[in-house]
Amino acid sequence: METATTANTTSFLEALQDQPSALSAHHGQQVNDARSMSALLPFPTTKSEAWKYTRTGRISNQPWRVTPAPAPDESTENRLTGLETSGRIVFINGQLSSVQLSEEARACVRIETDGNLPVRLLPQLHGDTFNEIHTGWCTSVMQVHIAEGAHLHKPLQLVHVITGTQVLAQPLLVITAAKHSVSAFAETFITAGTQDHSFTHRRLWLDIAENAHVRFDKIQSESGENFLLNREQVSLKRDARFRINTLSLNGQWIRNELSISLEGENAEAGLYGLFLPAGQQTIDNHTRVDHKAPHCESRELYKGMLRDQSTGVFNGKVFVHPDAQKTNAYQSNANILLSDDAQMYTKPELEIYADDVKCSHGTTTGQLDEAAVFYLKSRGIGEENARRLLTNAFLSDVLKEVEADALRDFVLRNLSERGLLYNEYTAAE
Amino acid sequence: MLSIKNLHASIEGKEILRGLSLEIGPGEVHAIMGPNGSGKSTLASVLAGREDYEVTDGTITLSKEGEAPIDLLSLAPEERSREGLFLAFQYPVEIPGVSNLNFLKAALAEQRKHRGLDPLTAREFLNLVNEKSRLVELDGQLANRAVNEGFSGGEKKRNEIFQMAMLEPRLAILDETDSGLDIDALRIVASGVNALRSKDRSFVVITHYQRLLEYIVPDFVHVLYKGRIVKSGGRELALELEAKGYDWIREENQPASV
Repeated sequence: METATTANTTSFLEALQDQPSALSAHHGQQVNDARSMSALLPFPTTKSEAWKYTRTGRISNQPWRVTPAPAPDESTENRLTGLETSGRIVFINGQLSSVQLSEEARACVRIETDGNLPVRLLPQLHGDTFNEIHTGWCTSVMQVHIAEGAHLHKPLQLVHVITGTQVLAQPLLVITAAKHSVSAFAETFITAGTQDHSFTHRRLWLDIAENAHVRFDKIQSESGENFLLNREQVSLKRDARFRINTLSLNGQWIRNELSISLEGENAEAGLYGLFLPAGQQTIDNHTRVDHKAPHCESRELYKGMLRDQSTGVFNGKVFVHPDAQKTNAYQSNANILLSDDAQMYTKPELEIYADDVKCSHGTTTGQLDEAAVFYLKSRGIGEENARRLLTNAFLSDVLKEVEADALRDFVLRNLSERGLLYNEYTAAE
Repeated sequence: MLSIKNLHASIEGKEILRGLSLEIGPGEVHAIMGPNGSGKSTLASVLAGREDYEVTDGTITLSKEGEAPIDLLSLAPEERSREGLFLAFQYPVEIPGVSNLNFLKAALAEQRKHRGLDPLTAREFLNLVNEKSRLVELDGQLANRAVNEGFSGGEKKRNEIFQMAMLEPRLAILDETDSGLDIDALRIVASGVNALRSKDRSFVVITHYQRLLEYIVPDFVHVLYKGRIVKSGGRELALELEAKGYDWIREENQPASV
């Protein structure tokens, strides 16, 4: 088994050998180390607990290529029309394609794209196979600094577009939100067409300083044969606030690894997620919240609705460290299986090392309530619409957390197009 | 209006209705009483089209002057509703996340579409909600909340009558709408029902207690026993049942005498 997986890594790497890394100019040593480590480390298999239900074989046995970013065209154009933004940053195939900032944003947002990371971040370049490969063949580095006291209520839009085949996209985003700042981000992962084929590993390191507020909406909607790995490390200092909505609408293979560390007193984090796999899709959410300081709060709600032969995974860990007294930590995962062949694996985990805390976690997996379906039908609502009304209701807890109307509309339109939604359009059909 | 002939229905292989026949004319109110387990709620469920019940024999025909009669049993529950049948549930279902208003808007839109009408405008719809919710003294707040979620027993039953008022059925079946209601709620529910009585709208009122019939005065009272209607009469039959209980019905219907 060991040799087989190492062989996989090798075939993955052969195609990449001489291709560049966006970190080479300033961190050549780290890149070289990462490339050496990549050759030694196997890809994770379903034998390891963290990857028990999510296979990596179709990633590891492909000859991926780092491709120069094609010029933007219609197919890579903004699909989130109507979203009022503070600016728009577009990555095509993991390469930075364009940066536009509003006048307001230019005054308080600083962007660096030279790939020169502060020394304190360098240890984070390493880790498991995926991190080493990311560092070894990073496709772009973007650092965004939100100035102290800045107020950016309109989101900065981050767009990741995939176009073409065998595409390896590995951007690194580093965001720092300075003290007392307020900022919002809307990140979308989309494909230009339906024939695209890619592996995207997007890493995000987000530091939220004292009393800073950050809101992050993430929409994943890739069609075609695409593999999407998102890794996020978020740290919050005293009185900081963070809210993230992870909306996984469409994608052959999606894995979200979100790690949040509450490091200062009275910090608050909200993690909300929606995942809607269909067909043979796999959507995997791994979250980790570390309560390291007293008087912090975390709220987590993930909802999954699974169709066809799809697979869903939720693994949520909450650690309450010994000093984190007066912690409030809530975690919940609810799932609906719309098909007998769909599979959901859910595992909430809570580890508490402090003695004066309030924590709860729970998970449910079931089907639509047939008594409710009958009740709706008995009032004249057709079978399909009755089911859609109930799925709407199920998803609404998470959807209402999405603040920007245009983002919510985008999600609703997407759900409606896939027949998952009850709305005036379907009623009038 | 409604014609039930020789209806046999069973659930999980157990026969509950055994040859029930009933004729209901336009504008009539029929009360159906009977001891526990006699098949009252089964009748309501079969009329509404609940899939757990299997109809093994008999017919149910819905007719209206000037229209072709409809074979009710061939229709899905939503089609029965669109043809003007309404069931007020004994146990209304809580539906978290679906607001009462959105639910009714959806139901009305489909009912109107079936009749070839455009959906109501938002203003027309809200005016209708205001008008009809007054009928059962339903707080405007309740209309905005999720369907039945966290409603008290009385609120749930009032919400059923409110829905009936919104949908304006030609035949309404009230399945133990009085159960669990205090006297004030009972009066409100009954006056809502009475306000909806008309020469074109018929009611089947299923109840255990004569008390409801003091408020909703029926034209006919039927006694359901072992899946069949064994006695029919006027309003005085309900009083007799109240005074004497059901034992004499049981005695009159000993297996030997059948």
